[in-house]
Amino acid sequence: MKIFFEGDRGKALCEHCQAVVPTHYARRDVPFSDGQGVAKDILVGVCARCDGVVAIPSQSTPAIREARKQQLKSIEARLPAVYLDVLDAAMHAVSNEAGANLRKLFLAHYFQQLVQAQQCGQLHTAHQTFLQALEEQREQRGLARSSATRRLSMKVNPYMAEDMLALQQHTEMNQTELLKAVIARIQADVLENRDQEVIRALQRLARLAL
Amino acid sequence: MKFDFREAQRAVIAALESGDYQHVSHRDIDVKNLLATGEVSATEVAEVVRSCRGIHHVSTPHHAVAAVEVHVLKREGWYIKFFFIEPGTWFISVHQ
Repeated sequence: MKIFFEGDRGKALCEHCQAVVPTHYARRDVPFSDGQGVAKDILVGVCARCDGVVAIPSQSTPAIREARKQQLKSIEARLPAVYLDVLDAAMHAVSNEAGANLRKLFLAHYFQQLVQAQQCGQLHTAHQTFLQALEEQREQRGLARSSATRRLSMKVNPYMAEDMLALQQHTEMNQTELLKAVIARIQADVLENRDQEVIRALQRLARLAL
Repeated sequence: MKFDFREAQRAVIAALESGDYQHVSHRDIDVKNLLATGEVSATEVAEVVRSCRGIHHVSTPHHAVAAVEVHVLKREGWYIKFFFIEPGTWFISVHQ
């Protein structure tokens, strides 16, 4: 394997210059194409004409992988309060000892299941059904729409972050919409349909975590 | 230089096995290049390439530099796009 050093020279295809151009290797901060973070100080090939980054040698992949993991560790979202009420109620229905400390575990379990079973297509439907049910209940009781929100903040491991990112890409939802849709799905499984298979799996998880 | 399927397959496997390859960048790290981001290993990609036959391969001139032939392998959901600029192998995209 050829190891590149700062100052090495080579050639690469530069789309900006529309040509095969001379390059030199240097350390640069390079953003990820989805806008989620930056790999800092990685070795790259730079176009001698336009000064843009045009090459990434394979030796930079471990640093890129590490940067990707670091960037994805914090999940922050502000959701309509009813979503967190519903999530906490579902957790309580599974185990009366499960509190807000287990939110991350339940969400991580669902993210993993949805990715593995490739069921993210059903998330939109679950969310719409949930919204419709909320709206009907509100109208029946003549209540105004609530603007109350609550903050969901989680430090997550790289596997959960990757599952979440995969779901975002498949559903084309942003982070907040995805969390809302997954909570709607948990509500449907646990509180509405009382799916015993799901509830038993969540109870096993809760027992391990408590 | 124009490579046929067998030549391209041989060259790209050799590059993956030796680690002598680079990734194309358009001033960023393409998250659809799972080999560049380390989400798949060179060994895994080499296995997919090894399993390909001629029917899984197409090549077309690069849209910006026609002299560069771009190779695409599609096999079991994998999409592997690369080219050669002597003496190197360059990956544009590796994803599922």
